[in-house]
Amino acid sequence: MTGDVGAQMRKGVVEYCVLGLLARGPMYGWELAERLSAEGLIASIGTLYPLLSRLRQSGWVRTFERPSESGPVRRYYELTEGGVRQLAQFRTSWTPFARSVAGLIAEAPPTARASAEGEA
Amino acid sequence: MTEAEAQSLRDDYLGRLDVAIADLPWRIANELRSGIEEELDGLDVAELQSRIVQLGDPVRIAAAAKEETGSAPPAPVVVVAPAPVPPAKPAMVDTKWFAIVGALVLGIGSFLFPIGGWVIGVALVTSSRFWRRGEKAVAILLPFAGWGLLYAAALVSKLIWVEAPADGGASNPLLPTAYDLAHSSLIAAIFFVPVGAAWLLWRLRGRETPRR
Repeated sequence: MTGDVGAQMRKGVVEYCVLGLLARGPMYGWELAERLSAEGLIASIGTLYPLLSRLRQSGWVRTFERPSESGPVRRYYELTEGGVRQLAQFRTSWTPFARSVAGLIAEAPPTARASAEGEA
Repeated sequence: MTEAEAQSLRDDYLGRLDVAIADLPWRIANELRSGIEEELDGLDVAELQSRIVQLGDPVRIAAAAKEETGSAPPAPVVVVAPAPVPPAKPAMVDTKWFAIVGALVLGIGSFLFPIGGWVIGVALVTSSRFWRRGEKAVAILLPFAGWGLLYAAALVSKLIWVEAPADGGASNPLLPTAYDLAHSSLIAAIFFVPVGAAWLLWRLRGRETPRR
């Protein structure tokens, strides 16, 4: 096990967090980067684009261009049907998984802790 | 602060970025550069300076991209769904037509094959789950109940209407004996069999599945 547990956890879920954000509507790169950075899921915009590229290769995300209000044309990312399905499946798996982990790492109640110390 | 100044800032940042991402795969480098370029496009100098600070050093961006590029592609979530179970074909005795045949054999078979037909009909009816036990019992025992009632009625009638000889002489041989009455009432009771069967068919109305 490596020391940076947080980085490993983020890597495991960040793709699905992007899918979750895009499920609310198309977003452009900077928008996604700001949201993910604010949540501590990516450290730099440099992390985002390889991730988006992988999602596109997997067929879960596609892009389209739309002029922004300030002028420049922006590349927007949106979910494909495959992405919608993947996100739905992840949602189904995530809740019981998170519950199991929370249960396993929860602090033992005082009585159990006392008996364990007594046995030791 | 002019547009030329803004363009200079933009070009400088993108130039440093191009150098930093030179080692990245072309597709990722291109997507990263276009994403950042469109972010810098259309901003005035003040906004540009602020955005460049937010973006950070191009070397750090490239390093993060390089690290992320080596990551494994996202693993699809595979939900193992149970194989669809084809609807089980009901056992023959749990079909409605089996119940109908059973009732018909009970009602008609008893006349075609007086004992064997009735026994087979009873077996079929009792095997079917389309009726409650009580309903089956009523239909099967109805002839026996009818026989008992007819016999009792005949005996009572005989006692009331046919007086025994006062002098203790021989009884009239033309009058039915108790045995005759029992036999006659048994034959008459056979007609209760189709009544019971018809009642079973009537109870089948609206039942499409066997009872639990």
